[in-house]
Amino acid sequence: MRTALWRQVETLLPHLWRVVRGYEANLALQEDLLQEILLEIWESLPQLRDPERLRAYVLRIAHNLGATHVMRATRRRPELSLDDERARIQVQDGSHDSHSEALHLLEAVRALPVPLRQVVSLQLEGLSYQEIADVLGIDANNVGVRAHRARKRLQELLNGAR
Amino acid sequence: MELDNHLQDLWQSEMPPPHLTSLMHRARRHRQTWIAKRVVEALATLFVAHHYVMHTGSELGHWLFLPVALIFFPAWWILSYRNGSIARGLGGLAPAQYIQVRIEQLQSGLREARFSMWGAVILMAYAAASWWVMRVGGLAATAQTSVQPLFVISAICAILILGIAFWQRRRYRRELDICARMSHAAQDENDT
Repeated sequence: MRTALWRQVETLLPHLWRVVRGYEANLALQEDLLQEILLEIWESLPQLRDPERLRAYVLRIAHNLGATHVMRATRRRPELSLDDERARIQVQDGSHDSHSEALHLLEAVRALPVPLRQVVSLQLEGLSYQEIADVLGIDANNVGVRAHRARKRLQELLNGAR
Repeated sequence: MELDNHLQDLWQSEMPPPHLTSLMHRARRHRQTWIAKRVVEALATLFVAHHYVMHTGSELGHWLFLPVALIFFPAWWILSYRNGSIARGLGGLAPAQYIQVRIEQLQSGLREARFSMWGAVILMAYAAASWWVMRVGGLAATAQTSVQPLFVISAICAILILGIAFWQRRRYRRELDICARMSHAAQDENDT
């Protein structure tokens, strides 16, 4: 059962990777955080009652650990190595423009406060308000309020970056 | 309120680095191959054990290949047990660990390849020496006829094992080099 669920978790790896990227800028720490999230998911899988809700369950774990990671990181000295990340993104593909745009978006999402960041990143993953409410364990109306604020702030940040 | 499709596309264009996923597949496949190989070995051991216990086949063959059964199979199993801890240690299934696990798998693969090479060389030398002794000793024609296929089979097996072991060693070494560089790069990033 756990192994079968794990195969489904693996299909969600791109989502998890983007969650991680939204919380951490340092490449090495991103891999560490992803590892921590995957381990936590592996440990928690037996507690999942409804396999239909696997995606929400997995994303909830990822966001909880991501938020904890940010809290821990703010206590430590800031470690931002965006230069090597920019270099990596440019090396991955010759099309500089779309990647630099993606990087601006990523930076803008990272600049948001954690509650807004969570809502925005889940919205960008294509989740509805109700699904986001399920993942974050909050009311759907609250999601709407946060989403409105987050969108406004995100636009300001993106316009400022251009 | 929905976010722009353009922003969603941009966000979702971000994928995990390829080395994280391909490494997972390789490590898992290595584990499956490891299990399959152990099953074949177990069957081979049972076959040989049955051969000796039931005392079927050529009497001379029993004596000639007793050292192989006594040394080769126990050594094989000791090695398998040692490498087995690595296959069992794949429970964490987390990407960063996979590099380390893969390195250990490759090192164990190299150990197995080395063992196979030495095993093949010894098997061939033993078969050749036995053949020579049998010729010089002037064994009866009927005994020679019964033992001859055994030697031919062992020589073919030895050549096959040797060839596969060389190929595996080259492949494992190449991948080990890549993994080691990847691991060092990750370490350097952590250090800086």
